[in-house]
Amino acid sequence: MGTRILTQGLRQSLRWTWWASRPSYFRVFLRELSSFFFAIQLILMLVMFHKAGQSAEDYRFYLDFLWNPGMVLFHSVSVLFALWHTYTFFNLLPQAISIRVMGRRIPGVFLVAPQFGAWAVVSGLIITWVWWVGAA
Amino acid sequence: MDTAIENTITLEVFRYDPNWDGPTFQVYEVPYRSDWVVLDALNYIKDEIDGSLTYRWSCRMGVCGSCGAMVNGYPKLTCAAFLSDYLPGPIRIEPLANFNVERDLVIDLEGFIDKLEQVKPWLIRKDRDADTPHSEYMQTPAQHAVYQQFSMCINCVLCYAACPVVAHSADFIGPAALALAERYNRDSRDEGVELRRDVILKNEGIWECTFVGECSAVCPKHVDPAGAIQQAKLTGAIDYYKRLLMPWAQES
Repeated sequence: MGTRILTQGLRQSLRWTWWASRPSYFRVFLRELSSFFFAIQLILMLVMFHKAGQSAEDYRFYLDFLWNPGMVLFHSVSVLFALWHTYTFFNLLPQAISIRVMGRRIPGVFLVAPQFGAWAVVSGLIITWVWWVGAA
Repeated sequence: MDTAIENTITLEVFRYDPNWDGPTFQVYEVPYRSDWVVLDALNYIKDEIDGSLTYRWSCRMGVCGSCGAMVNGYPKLTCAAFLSDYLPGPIRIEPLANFNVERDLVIDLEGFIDKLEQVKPWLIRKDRDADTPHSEYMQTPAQHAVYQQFSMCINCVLCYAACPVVAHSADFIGPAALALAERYNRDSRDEGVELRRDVILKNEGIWECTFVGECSAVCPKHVDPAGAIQQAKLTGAIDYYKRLLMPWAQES
């Protein structure tokens, strides 16, 4: 840690690499960094809607652009960040919500498990729908 | 292994005297005992090697919360940090991070005390003077259980030393004070929610917390200040929408 002298005494200050100094900080850093990828994905999606409203040729050209190796890599990394953000969010919920039944706080697993269950069900439905549309 | 090394352990202790130029680390070789904690080693240094070493301690049993320090970079109560957990050493002892250092391991707690006072961590009653109650404030075990976890705080401020938000924003009210605010807001005997609202909901209050969660990880009393703050956020958000959508409900 660096140090600087203040009038009230000495104050230790964080280095800019503080987020890499502990595994717990790094995990949070990755969770917060995921927002960047979500923002870019949102912009790409809005552009896609815009192109779809212009012409079929514009839309097809944009889809081709999304298939370039850089975009595929970006979306692959984004999926990893999305999975990490979702995993951490689901697991943190029991800390953020306190539900008491019969005077006792319910165990965290009763809040976490339904989220993962719902995630699996919704993902399954989407995969089935995509497969069904592709086959039709 | 060398017998001499087996029987001693090295401590690198942060030394700072405001009359000197700057901080330094002083190396001490102290006897190793498997039942000794870091505080025992500091007391040995103070008694046998260097009487000028300055640090706070009182109960030596994890109750008073005054012996906190950074032990190998992590905030710990030195009375609860066993030397055996840091073998073979050396063990680096520094003052708690995110505080001004007055001397050696002694930090300036004035800012923390000010934040603590801001959240009014005491029972507030509307109907009568809480300082001179005429009868007991009754409470059921279930009502007590709602806030019991948050009342275990010993103000050791390890949570402030672990919080990167405190490091970046000195005005952040911080984990312990916000957990105590939530503790009193949940207390069935308390009627001071409105009086604490402005402090809790201001920019330097609960919304500054990014839920790193390290405050709860280092808390020696398992208070879970991160949980308290997130739960206060949920309550604050619900209250906001209630006031926005049902202003008449607040007036009644």
